[in-house]
Amino acid sequence: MKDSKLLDELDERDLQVARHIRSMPDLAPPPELLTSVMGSVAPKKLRLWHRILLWARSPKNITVTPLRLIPAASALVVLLVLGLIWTSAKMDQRAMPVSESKLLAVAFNLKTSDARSVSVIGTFNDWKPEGYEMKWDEDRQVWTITLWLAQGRHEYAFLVDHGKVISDPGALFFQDDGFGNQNSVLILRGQNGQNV
Amino acid sequence: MEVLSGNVNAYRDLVQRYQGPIFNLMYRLTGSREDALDLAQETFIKAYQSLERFKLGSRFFPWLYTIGLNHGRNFVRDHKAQRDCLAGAGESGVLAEILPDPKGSGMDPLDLQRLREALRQLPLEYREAVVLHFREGCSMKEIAVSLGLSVSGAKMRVHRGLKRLRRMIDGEMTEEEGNEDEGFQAAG
Repeated sequence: MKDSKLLDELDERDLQVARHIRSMPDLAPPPELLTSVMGSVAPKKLRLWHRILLWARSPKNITVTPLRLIPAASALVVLLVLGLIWTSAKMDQRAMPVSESKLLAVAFNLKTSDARSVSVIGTFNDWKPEGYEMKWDEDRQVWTITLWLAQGRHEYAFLVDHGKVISDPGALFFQDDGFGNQNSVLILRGQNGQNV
Repeated sequence: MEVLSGNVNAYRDLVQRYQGPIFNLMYRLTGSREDALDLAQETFIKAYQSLERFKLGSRFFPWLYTIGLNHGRNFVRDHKAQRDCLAGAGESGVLAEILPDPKGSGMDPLDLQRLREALRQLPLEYREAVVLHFREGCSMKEIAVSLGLSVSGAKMRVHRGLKRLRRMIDGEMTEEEGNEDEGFQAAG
């Protein structure tokens, strides 16, 4: 059963219960939990193979000479040209008119006061933040943007400070992005259906 | 990555981030603040000692949750507690503490009361699947890993758990019916 199929079988009352579970207040952990845990753990001495694995998976600086750079630069130019051709072909295919009556206004909100910029990216904009920058609402203390989106299923996330991608903490459903992170899932069903 | 390299301070961030969900998991399992505190502490220490087994690139929380759930289940089993330990706790104490401020949650107090009662009655495997998905934002794959299920099994558990919870809240299912399920074996 796919997530979307699972959702189809939920009615408004089910979703209301799900929202209540999400907003239910938790019991605050006692402050001594953190201190006692940190007082009980000591720095670890890792085995050699594990240190090698960590080294291999961490980013490294690579230095190259101009002569060595020529083949790599050539390959990069070829790749860029191919990418542009592929992208323009895809843009042509995607140019399908959507009647405005089938579009729904969706307000995206993110509460984070320490960000300098936030954009919404998703399947509806090919994950490109340009033109989808959110505005800071001083009164509500949220980053916000309203988009007109087609009915159906959309995956999205927020791009914070041009580098950090976070899922929507207010979303009900999530989808693995295949890279160890999660995208939020939005399902629009029109005025008579449930929008989640 | 820093934690795996032996940076204890980086582990502090992880404890701070996940102490709430783990403490509340233990509280749901035991119904006791003292036991929940001990079990949550032991879970984080166990996780730290087992960091070499953590799969790089995956999310830390489902892995931590699996350790916590197994540890909590063992505790409940060893102490011969009832399958759903909240049932053995003081009615006025446990659930009132879990939801200390109904007005602050923005929920209808009656709905909140029914929800906490239904959650108390829901078998552990259904309850944790529903909490993991709708509260902690875990994917079906992560729930499957945490609860030792297939992905389709996790989806079914979440779906049936929510439906069951809703029927219990709406008074369409009794506690006994809520605990009945052919082929379902509750842990603890």
